[in-house]
Amino acid sequence: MGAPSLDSEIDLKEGLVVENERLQILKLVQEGKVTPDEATKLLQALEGKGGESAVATGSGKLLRIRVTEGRGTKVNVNLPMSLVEAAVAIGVKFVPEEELRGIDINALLEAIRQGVTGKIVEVDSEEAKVEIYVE
Amino acid sequence: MFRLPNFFLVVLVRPSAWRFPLIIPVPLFLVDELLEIGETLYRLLGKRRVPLKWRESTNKAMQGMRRIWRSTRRAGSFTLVDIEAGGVRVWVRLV
Repeated sequence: MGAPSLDSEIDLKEGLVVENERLQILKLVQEGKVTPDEATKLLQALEGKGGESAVATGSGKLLRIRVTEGRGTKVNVNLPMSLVEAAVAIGVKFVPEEELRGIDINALLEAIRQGVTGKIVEVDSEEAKVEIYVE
Repeated sequence: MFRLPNFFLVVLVRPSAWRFPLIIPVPLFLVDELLEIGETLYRLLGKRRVPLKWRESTNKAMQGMRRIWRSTRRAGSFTLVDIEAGGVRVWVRLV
């Protein structure tokens, strides 16, 4: 019998998170803090979340990096937000806290997820122009 | 929403003198299998040889790689890179 793959471990962890959240909602109903109607809506939202992967949030949006040089060189890199989120989630684990200098990566990602679009970075120098935007 | 995963990474290279681009398809499911093999080998052989202090970060890195890979495959068809330099255009597309 082989060891379970990391893929199945991630699926299992995501399933457990959704299950815990479901139990919390039911507990809130039991305590009378949430009405059954509200709980139904919350559970429906949760089912939607469980249906897709947690890493698929923000899907549909692209982080576009565009570099233009004077000599006709053009570089376009498009990264789906789901990929950016996954990469950031991993990158943050390896970057020391002091290196982040108070930048709240989660807040940034949350803002993008909530619908912030457009140009987020523009560097214009004599040699090249760099633009980063969310579409 | 169910979305078909990407199956190929297609690299297209087209120098300006060429009429048609050179197309290099890389099957993603093969890369999937290679990752799986790498993980299995690590679990079976390499894990004990990795010093304890590195083990956690190695596990995290492998888990992360798997996660990035999964979201890349699930992101749907898109152009990852499009470079135009020195009269050569290179595209990398996931389809």
